[in-house]
Amino acid sequence: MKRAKKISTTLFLMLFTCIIVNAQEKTTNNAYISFYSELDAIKAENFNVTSRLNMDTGTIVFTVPIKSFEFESAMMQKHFNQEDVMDSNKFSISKFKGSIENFEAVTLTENGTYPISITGDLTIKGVAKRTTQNGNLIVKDEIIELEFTFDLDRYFWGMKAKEGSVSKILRVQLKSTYK
Amino acid sequence: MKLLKKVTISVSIFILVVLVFFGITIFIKSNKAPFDVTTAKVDFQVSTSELTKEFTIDYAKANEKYFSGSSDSKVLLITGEIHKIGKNMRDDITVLLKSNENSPFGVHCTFSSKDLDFKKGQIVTVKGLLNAGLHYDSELDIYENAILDKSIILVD
Repeated sequence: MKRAKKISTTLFLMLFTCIIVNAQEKTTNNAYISFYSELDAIKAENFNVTSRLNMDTGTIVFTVPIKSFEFESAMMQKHFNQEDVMDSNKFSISKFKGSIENFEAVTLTENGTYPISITGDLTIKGVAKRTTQNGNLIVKDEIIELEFTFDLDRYFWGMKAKEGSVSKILRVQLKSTYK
Repeated sequence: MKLLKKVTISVSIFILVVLVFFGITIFIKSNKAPFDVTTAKVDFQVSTSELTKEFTIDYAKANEKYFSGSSDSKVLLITGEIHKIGKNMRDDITVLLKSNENSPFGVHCTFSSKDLDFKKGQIVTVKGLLNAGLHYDSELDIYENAILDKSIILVD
């Protein structure tokens, strides 16, 4: 009887371990974000975004190192990092933590473009804001890509510098690839 | 006499216009010129192991050292072993330097030159702009690598 209990406990632990191992996560450094101000045609790009996607639950995180944003103008880049705008010495990383709401509609084993909705907390300069954005999840031969384009109100995070010369609403583009 | 005055005024205006033109050109060029890492003064010289230790032992102290004062990025000269080679979405070459295989942290270097040939296990010295420190984010449960942008290779 004791032996049977031992065996069943061992089997249960083995099964539990398998479930944990199967909770697949893919982390990538190959992610990109850009923003565009229409008012004065300013564009900044960042190729150092990190992201992690949980393939079982659809939870997702992004981290963005602020100093890695590249501008055409060196003066604009300097201004962007200063205290009255991003204060990047103090708030070096912006982040997003959320999940794909309609993840059950995505089949990761089948090639295709799946429209998705993602909800989570976007934290910039230490201030988090709940947000929902629509985008696409693309599956192509086991490689997963995410693409989002959305508007961001910079005034919400107190970035009011250059009022009137830089757009209040910035167009943001986000892309990530998970292999 | 009148003619001399006229000529003097005309020459002065011409010189002024030329000066203003060159001034504006230099201003625009200096504002658009990308940062030249090659000639930049090195702020800190460390090994991957030393940088990892500094940020993991006392994050606040390391942050104060590398990210204070001017918002300009500090120029770092770092030596370490290549553990991973890749490319970003712009096809820039990237390498991950780590102090050892088991460390969850590394230094993610992005190179401007596409004409580089790296090998895993190679010891390299890289000069670049330190744009983020090593950090464990407990909220996201993610290990953030240090970021070295506009990297150039010094010794291979």
